[in-house]
Amino acid sequence: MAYFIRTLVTGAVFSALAAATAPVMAQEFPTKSIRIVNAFAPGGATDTAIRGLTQNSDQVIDQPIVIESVTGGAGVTGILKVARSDPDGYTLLVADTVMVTLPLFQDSLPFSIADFKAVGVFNLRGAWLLSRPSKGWTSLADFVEAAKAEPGALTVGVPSLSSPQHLAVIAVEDAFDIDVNIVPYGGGAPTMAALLGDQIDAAMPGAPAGLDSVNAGEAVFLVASTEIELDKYDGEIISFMDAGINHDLGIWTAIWAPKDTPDDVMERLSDIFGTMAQSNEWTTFARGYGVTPIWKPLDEASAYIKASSESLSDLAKLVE
Amino acid sequence: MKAQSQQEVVTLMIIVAFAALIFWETREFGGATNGQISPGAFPRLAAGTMGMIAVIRAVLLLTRVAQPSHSGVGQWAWATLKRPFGAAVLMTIYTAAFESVPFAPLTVAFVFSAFLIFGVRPWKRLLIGTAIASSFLYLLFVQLLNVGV
Amino acid sequence: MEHFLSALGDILLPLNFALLFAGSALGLLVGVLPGLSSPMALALLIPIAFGMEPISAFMILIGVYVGTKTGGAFSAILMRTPGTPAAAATAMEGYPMAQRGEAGRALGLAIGASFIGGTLSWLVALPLIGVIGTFAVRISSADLALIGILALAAVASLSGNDLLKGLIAAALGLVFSTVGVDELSGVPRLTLDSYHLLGGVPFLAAIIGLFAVATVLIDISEATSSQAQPAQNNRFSVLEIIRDLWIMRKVLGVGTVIGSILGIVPGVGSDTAGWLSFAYVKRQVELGRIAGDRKIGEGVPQGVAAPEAANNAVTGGATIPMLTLGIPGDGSTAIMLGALMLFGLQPGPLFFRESPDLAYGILIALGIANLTTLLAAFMFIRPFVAILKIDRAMLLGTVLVLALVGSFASSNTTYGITIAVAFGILGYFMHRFGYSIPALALGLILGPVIESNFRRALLITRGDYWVFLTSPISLICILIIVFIGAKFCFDTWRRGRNQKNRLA
Repeated sequence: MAYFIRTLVTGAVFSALAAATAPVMAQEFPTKSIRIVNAFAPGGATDTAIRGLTQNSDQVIDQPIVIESVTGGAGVTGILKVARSDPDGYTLLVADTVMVTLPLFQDSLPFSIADFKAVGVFNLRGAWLLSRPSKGWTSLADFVEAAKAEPGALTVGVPSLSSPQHLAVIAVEDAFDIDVNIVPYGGGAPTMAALLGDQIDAAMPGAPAGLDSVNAGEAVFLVASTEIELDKYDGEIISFMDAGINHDLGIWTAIWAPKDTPDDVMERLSDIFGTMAQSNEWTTFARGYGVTPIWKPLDEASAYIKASSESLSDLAKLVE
Repeated sequence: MKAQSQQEVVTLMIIVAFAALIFWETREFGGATNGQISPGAFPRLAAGTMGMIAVIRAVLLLTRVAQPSHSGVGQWAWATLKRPFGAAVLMTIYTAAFESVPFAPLTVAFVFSAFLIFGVRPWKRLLIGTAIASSFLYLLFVQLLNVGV
Repeated sequence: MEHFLSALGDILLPLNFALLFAGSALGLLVGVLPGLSSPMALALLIPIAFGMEPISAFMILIGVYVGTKTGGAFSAILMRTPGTPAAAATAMEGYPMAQRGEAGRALGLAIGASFIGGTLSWLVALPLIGVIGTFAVRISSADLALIGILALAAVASLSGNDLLKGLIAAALGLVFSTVGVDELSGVPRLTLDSYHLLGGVPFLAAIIGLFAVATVLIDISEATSSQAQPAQNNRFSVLEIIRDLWIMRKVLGVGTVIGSILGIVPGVGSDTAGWLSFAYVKRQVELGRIAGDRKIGEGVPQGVAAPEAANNAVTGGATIPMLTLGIPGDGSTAIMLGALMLFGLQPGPLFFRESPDLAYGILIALGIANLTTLLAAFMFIRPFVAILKIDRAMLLGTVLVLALVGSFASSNTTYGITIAVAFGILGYFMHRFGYSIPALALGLILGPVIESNFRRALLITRGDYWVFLTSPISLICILIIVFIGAKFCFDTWRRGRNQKNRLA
């Protein structure tokens, strides 16, 4: 009898304990360090963004967040690595709009965006069209006028051919029915260098690249591809929509997890990164260097990315 | 001398074949478009130059105008090829196994095998050397640099 | 001016100076190990640097950057496997010197030359800061293409007697350089339908393969058994090295000039500077203009000093445009730029005005880092030369593993190792059949510079080839190329005529 009661009590205690710890276990994620893979150049815009976002991660979770740089294959290697990793929430990917524009220009890539689930979109910037003071253009209208006067002659530099910046130039061409000579460079820095050296008439880098040059009077701002907020820029920001271009082209940065990651882990990740993305440290930091902090979690992020993807895809079709 | 000459002509023919391969691989690129140079132009220019020079040199060798000029693989002497071949095989195995086998044991095995092939003897030195080298590598790459797939 | 002096005072504060020194020592160690490179080390240091004051963080970063330029020479001289691509040329004469028992002297020359090259180019650049950046951006695509072609001409000198084989090797390098997504058209080329090659042949892994792995394969095929190294004449005196460097001053000067100029040219950098300086020394030896009875390959000291001066002289040209315009000159400065942004700073034309303390601090650190590297390096000479006492087979084995794991670390992908192994085996066979590995490396480095810029120049002018004759830099390059070509033909004709006269 005593044995029976003891077993019963033990069973009851254990069950109670199990019930009590179940939600605690889920709450305990992460139990080891979280790895975020950056498939693009260290020191670049995505790198700065994710490092800035996670710099105070110790205020949100105990485990460290490690940024891992996996370069190669134009970014595909890193992207694939995350796609193929365990969907346990410990290996994530950070990437910007290139995730969406790369498949538009390259056939038969071994990944697609369907291999991932978005944790959240955490910052937004745009492409912006810059030229030199010596050109005498002060607005997009001046630029368009010059382009109409000499079809195909004006040179506009872009960081690369399968980038949102390239598509932004296409958008301008399409909206005003002009034809410019698009010149690709190997990145934002060479593009700005070419502009400052007067080798091209205008450039469309990703803001805030060139911000300092604009403030110094070495470059002139013409139009931005979306409503960007640049605290350090003195003038007024005119976006595509303001200028009559019916394309809103934002360059966003997002965090992804492999597609089979369970929902409760996704929720937890979204909470963690959401807290960081809405923290004072991040928002001040982001505005400080010239990007707009935003936060769109989970489904909202997926919808946002999908809309962006469709709009970019339309533009991509206009490229010969 | 003649055998060396023949060896060199063989390698030159391989080079020509490689150049032809490049031409084949770049066949689908169109010609120049509105002032732009086709993506296939430069690879073909380089490969074509390579092939042409190889042909020129082969002709010079065959007509005895030029001398062969390499240390060659001397009648393909197995003795000198043995170690590099072993090392190449070892490296290939290491690379293939890198993603499946954990870093530490795989690298220790590699170090041991490399020392073995390279001729580190006597056995005591081999084992101690492996231990020291492996510890050094472990500390450097795993602890410091966080390597370890 | 007062900012400059105040920043100078800050740097000389014990803490900052110690950090600069620590950075240099760390840079030296990173430089020594084949497989670890400056951009990699800087990227790894960013999280640590983040937690510090910007100026202190940059003491470490700049120290590492400059330190790696000298560190590579250690492994180049001692083991013929350069620790960084920039030191590959140093191995050509440095290793034979070590084999003659002069390892200490070679290292001393390398360190001293690095110091002189780096400091001189920095001193010359200082009064020109405002101008260097402006000049750098005025170099047009057409200019860059021609500069690249001109640099490729160095292949001729590097090939020695076998010009045809050297050209084949360079052409092969050019072919490899076209692999990947074409920058100018967006289509993938020669990628064998594999996504791995979309970004092109992983450069660092390929260099590790060609110079470290291949060297190991070559060395083990020649050794008959595990053997000790030649005895080292450990007694070298600092005074002798200073005297040697003074005797070589002309060569040092040429190396410094080559490095300073190439530092400003984007995409070319310290790897090419080393080879071009070496090619110059080789030519001078062949023409008998360098005193001494050693032939190339036997341990010509100038062959160590010139490349080392050159690869350090690059640092000024690469860093100053980053500070004055926000345009980085090479991979390492690009990461430093990222670090500046992480600190919430905007590098660009206003950087000096808005953050003068930091801007001048970095500038001065760049110069003083040469000194701290010199000091740190001299401390390392004895222990490193002692490494040579280790069983050669074990050294080679360790270098091989270092190279392979390092090539993994360079991109964090297994593919990096595959490339290193593949290029290692290629390099082995190239050496066996007498094809110049440096020529291939030059082709690999200069291919993108030449092709992208050539096509871009034509894209900008919509097919107008006159662009290559309208800029002063382009014209100078063309004239030099024509001159070199004519001289070469003339020399060959004259040599042929002499031979005929002798036979007659």
